[in-house]
Amino acid sequence: MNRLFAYFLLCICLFLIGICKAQTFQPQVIPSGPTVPSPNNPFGTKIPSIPEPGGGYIQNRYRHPYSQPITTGEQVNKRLLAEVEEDMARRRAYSMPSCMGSPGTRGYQHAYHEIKTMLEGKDSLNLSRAVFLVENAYYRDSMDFSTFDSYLNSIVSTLLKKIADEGQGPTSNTAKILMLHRFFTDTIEIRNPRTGKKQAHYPFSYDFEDPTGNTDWSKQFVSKLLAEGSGQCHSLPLLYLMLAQKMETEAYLTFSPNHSYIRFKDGYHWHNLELTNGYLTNNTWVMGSGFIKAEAVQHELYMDTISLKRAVAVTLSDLANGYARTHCMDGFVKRVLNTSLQYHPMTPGALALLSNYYTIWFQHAFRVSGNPGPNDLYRYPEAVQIYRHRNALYGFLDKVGYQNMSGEAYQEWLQSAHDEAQQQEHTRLMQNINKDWPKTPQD
Amino acid sequence: MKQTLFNNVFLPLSLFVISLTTQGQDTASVHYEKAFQTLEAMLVEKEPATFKKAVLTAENAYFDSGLDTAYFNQQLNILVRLTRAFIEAHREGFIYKGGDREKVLIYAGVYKVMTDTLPIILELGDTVYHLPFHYDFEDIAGHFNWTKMFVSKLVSSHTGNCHSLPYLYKILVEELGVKTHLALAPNHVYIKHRSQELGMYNTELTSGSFPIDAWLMASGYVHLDAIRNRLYMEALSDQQSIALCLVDLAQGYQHKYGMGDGQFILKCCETALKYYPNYINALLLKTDVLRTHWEALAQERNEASTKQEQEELTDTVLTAFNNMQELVGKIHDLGYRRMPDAMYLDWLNTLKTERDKYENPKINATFNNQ
Repeated sequence: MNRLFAYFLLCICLFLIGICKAQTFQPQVIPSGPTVPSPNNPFGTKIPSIPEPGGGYIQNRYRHPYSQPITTGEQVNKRLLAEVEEDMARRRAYSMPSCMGSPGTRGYQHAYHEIKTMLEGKDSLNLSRAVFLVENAYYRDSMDFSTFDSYLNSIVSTLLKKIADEGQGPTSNTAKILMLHRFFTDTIEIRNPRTGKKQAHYPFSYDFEDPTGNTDWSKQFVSKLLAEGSGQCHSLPLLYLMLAQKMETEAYLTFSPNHSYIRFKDGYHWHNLELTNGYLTNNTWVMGSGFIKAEAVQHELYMDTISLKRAVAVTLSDLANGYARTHCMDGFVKRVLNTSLQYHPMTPGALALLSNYYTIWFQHAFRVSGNPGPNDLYRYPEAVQIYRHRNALYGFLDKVGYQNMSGEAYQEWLQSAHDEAQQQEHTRLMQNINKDWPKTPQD
Repeated sequence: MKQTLFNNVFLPLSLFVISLTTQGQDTASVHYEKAFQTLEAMLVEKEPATFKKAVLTAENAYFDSGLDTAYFNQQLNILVRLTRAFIEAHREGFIYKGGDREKVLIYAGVYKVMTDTLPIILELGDTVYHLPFHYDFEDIAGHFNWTKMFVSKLVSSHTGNCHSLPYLYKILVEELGVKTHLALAPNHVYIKHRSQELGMYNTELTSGSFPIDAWLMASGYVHLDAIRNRLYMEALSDQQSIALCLVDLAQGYQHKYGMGDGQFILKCCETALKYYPNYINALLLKTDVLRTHWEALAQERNEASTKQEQEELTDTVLTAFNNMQELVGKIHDLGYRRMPDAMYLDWLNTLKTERDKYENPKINATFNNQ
C-alpha cells in the first residue's frame, strides 16, 4: 500500500516538473511599432483601460521553470503569496508616486466625483457648478457656490429684463444671443429694480498679462473674470456658455490651436463669436492663423461645435491641469483626463496633458528599471508598455492634426482681428443677423 | 436589271458601310469596356494594382489602345535612373536626419528631378541638362483637348497640369519603391506626405512649392464643410487613387464620344463611388448623367403627340428630376461650391504672390538646400 502511495507521489512530481518545463521563460519582445488608434476610437479602447504596469506581463515574468516540485498545499500558498507580494511591490514601484492625501487634494477628488456624476447622467448637467468646482478646488474650498451662482443669476435676470424692455420676444434665441454679445462687449445701462438708480455694466476686456496662465493659473478662471472684468480666451467663452445655459440659449464651445471661441446658429447660418475682442469672425480668419491642418478639421479637433455635456467634460481637463500644476502628476491626473476624453475624445488640452503625463511616467519607469540601455529595455515590459502608449498617443496627436501655437504667433493672429477687413466683415455679419430678425421672430 | 444591280451591288455595299461604322463604334466601346474591367479588377484586388497601370489603362483607352507604352516606359525609366543618380549624389549632404531618411530622400529626389534643371555629366565629360517639367497654361482643364490631362502627354512634351504632374510624381515615387498619397482640392490635385520629423506636409508640383494647409483653407475659396466631409485635403489611399483613374476614364469617354446613353459613364462613377463615396468628380459627373437623362425624358414628354401619352410620361420625368435634385442637394451639403477657371488660376497664383504666408519653411529648407 505504501509503495503504491509512493508511486502515486512520484507520478504527481513528474507531472508537475513536466508542466514547469513546458512553461520555459520567454523574454518579452518589443513590438515593432506603436498601435495606431482609429479616429472614432482614439486609443483603440486600450489607453483608457490600460492595465497598470506589471499587469498583463506578470504571467510571463514570474514563472519559475526550474523551481523544485511543490508537494504540499501550504507551500503552494506560501509561494503564491510571495509572488503576489513581489508583484504588488513592482506595481507600486512602476506607478507614479501619488500625492493624493496631501492638503488641498480632497477638493479635487470631490470635484471629480461630482462632475463625473453629472456626466453619467445621475445628476443634471450644470456647467456653472462644474466650473465652480474646478476653481474652488484650486482655491482650496474657499469659495461659496450660492454667492457665485446668485451673481450669475442676477446677470441673467437683468439681461432677460433688458430684452423684454427692448420689446423682443422672451423666447427669441437670436435676441438672447445678441444681448449676451452686448453684455460682453458693450456698456449696458440698467435701472436697479430696488433702488431705482441707473447702473452700468462695462464690457469685459482682454487681459494681456499672462493670458495662458503660465505663471498664475487662476488667470484663466471665470471667477477672476467676474471679479476683475478682464479675462482671456478660456474664461470668456466659458462664462458665455454658463450664462447661455441659464438663459436656455443654444451656443457652442469651439477649439482652435491654443484657443477657444463660441459658435452659434442664426437661422441656417453658423457664426463665430470671438470674445477676446467681441468680433463676429468668419472661418477664413480662424484658419488664417496658418496653424490649422485639414486633418484637425476632419477629425473634429478644431472648429467643431461642442455641446453642453461635452463642455462639462472639458472642465475635467481643466481640473486635471489645475491638479497637475498645484500638486503633482499622478494617477489622479490620468483618471480625470480619461473620464474627460471618454465624453469628449477631442479636447486638445486634455490630449496634450495626457501625452505629457505618459512622457513623465515613462521617465519614472525608466529610472525604476535602473536606466537600461536601448537593447536591454525589453527586459522591463512595464516600462516598454508605458513607452508604447506614450508613442501611440503622440502618433495620434500628429494624425489628428494637433498643433501648438507659439505665444507670439498667437497674439499676432488675435490682433489681426482688428484689421479693417475683419472689422468690415464683423459689421456685415452683424447686419445679417439683424436682418434675419423680422423673418424669424420666434426662432 | 436595275433591281438586280441594286440587290447585287448597292445593298451589300451599303450594308458593308453600315457594318464598318458600327464596327468602329463597337471597337471603341470595346477599348473602354476592357479598360473599365481592368480598373475594376484592380479595385476588387483581383489583379495586382499599381497606380501606373491604372493611369496607363485610362489613357490607352482614349487612344483606342494605341498608346506607345514602350516609349512611355522608356521615358519613365530614364527619369527613374536620373532620380536614383541624383539621390546617390546627394545622400551625404541631405540635411534631414529622421528615421525615415531614405523615404524622404526619394521624395526630395523626385521633387528635384521634376522641378529643377539638373546637370548630367556624360562619360566624355560633356554636360547636358535635364530640364524641369513646366505648367501648361493653355487649356488647363482639358476642355478642348482631353489629352492635355495625360501623363503620357506630360512625359513626351515636358509640360503638364495639376492632373498629370502629381500623377507622374506618384508613379515615379512608387517606381522607386515608396508610397505616396494624392490629395484633392477644388479642380486640383496635389501630394501629401508624412515624415517623422517634419510631420504632414504638402507638395505642390504646378509651382514646385510646399504650401501649408492654410493656403487652401484660408484663401476663402473652400467651404469648411467640404474639408470636414473630406471632399478635399485627405491623403488618398491606393484604392481611392484608382477610383480617380476610373472617373478619368469616364471623362475621357465623354470627351471622345459624348454622353451616349450615359450607361458607361454611370457605371464608372458608381464603381468609383463604391470605393471613394465622397469623390467629388464622380458625384459631379453622375449628376451630369442624371441631368442628361432627365432632359431627354422631358423632351420626349414634350414631343408626345397625345395628352394621354404626356401624362403617362410625367411621373417618369419627375422621378428623374428628383433623382438629380437629390444628388445636387447632397453635393451642396457636402460643401462643394463651383470654382471657375479664372478663380482657380488666381488661387494657384497666391502661392507665388503670398509665398511667405503660405509656404512651409521647414520643408522648403530641407528640400531646396542640397
